[in-house]
Amino acid sequence: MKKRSFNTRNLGSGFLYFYIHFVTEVACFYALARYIESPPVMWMITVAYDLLAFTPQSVIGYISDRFRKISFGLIGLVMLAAALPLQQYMASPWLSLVILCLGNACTHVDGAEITLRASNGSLSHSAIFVAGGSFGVITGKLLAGAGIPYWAPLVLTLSAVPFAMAAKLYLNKAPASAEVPCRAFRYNDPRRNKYLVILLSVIVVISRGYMAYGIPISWRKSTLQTVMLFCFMGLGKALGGVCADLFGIKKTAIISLAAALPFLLFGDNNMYLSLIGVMFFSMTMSVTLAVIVSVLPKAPGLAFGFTTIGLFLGATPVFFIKVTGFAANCVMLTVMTALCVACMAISIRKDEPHERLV
Amino acid sequence: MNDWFETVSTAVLQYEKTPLLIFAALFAVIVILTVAFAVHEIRNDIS
Repeated sequence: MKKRSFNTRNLGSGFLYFYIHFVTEVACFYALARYIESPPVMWMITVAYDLLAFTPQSVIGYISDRFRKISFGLIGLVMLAAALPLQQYMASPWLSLVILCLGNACTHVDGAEITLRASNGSLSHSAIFVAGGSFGVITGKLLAGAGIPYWAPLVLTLSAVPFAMAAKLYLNKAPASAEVPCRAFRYNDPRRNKYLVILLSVIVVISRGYMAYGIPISWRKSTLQTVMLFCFMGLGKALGGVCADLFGIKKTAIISLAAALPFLLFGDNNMYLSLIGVMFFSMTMSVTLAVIVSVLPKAPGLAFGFTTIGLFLGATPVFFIKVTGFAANCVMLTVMTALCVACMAISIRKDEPHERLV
Repeated sequence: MNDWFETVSTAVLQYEKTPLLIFAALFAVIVILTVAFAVHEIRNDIS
């Protein structure tokens, strides 16, 4: 029987994109926090940001799958860098917002493409890439809140350009760079219809996106506590990929989600319990991506786009329908956790030791 | 995060319909394209 192992081959792509994802979110949330200072367009800006940054990733991802020579990572960073001074000097927020969102979408797509193609079927690479975002969100908000001038996130964004160029080199080293770049991803249950697997995975992402805003966190009062919350989110996302590689994707997905529930429910006033819950809760992030990639092994960019459409669908209802009250939140979290566990139990294949394609 | 969302959701409740419809139309186009690409990929994979 083969033993599972932590695949460190090409892991550098994950760390390079951890930084690029970090600076992307710093730039976006710095700009977003400053847009939101203008109340008349506040809600439109927020909904438009979610729409324009999240949903086009599927289309950009598909173009990126087809035309690998286009460096979407570099294009994205240049767009982000251009959006920051535009926001500062233009009266209307819309042009800078559109450029910012498309820049965000481009760097995300490239990160997913590179880490998935270079990982040889491991989840750790994309999980480490995804984790960088949580640290970036809180850093961007803190920079904007502290009144730091726009050139600081601009310099930070440009500092990621060499990282994007270096990450590109990992594509050449990727073993499965041929016709089916992600053939080592075989995590979907082959007995299930492929469309059903995509649908169930997107339902999990939607539920998780909505649940994230219903988590009771009365304990969070200071900036330091907010920073810790985002750090544990990031840690959970990275740990989810590593645990999936070590112990199996199905075990990691179901156990982490089920284990998160009691910690989240009883952690309303206890920061330590809550942070453990948030960490467990974030661990399934890379799992849904890996399952969709298993169904679309030739199109990792498009597969990533499905998860971001799910995130948009999960986050948007929060603006319109919000579950309030501790008891209602508990019921909502429990029902949605059960739904996610059921979806994952159906769509993910049974864990078994598998040979990696080297 | 929650405070921020509470502020934004309060603002959303006073929404205007036109921008929402534009956003919904844009979203629908992107979803249709995404599903079409996925169907194309899966059919290609089977054949």
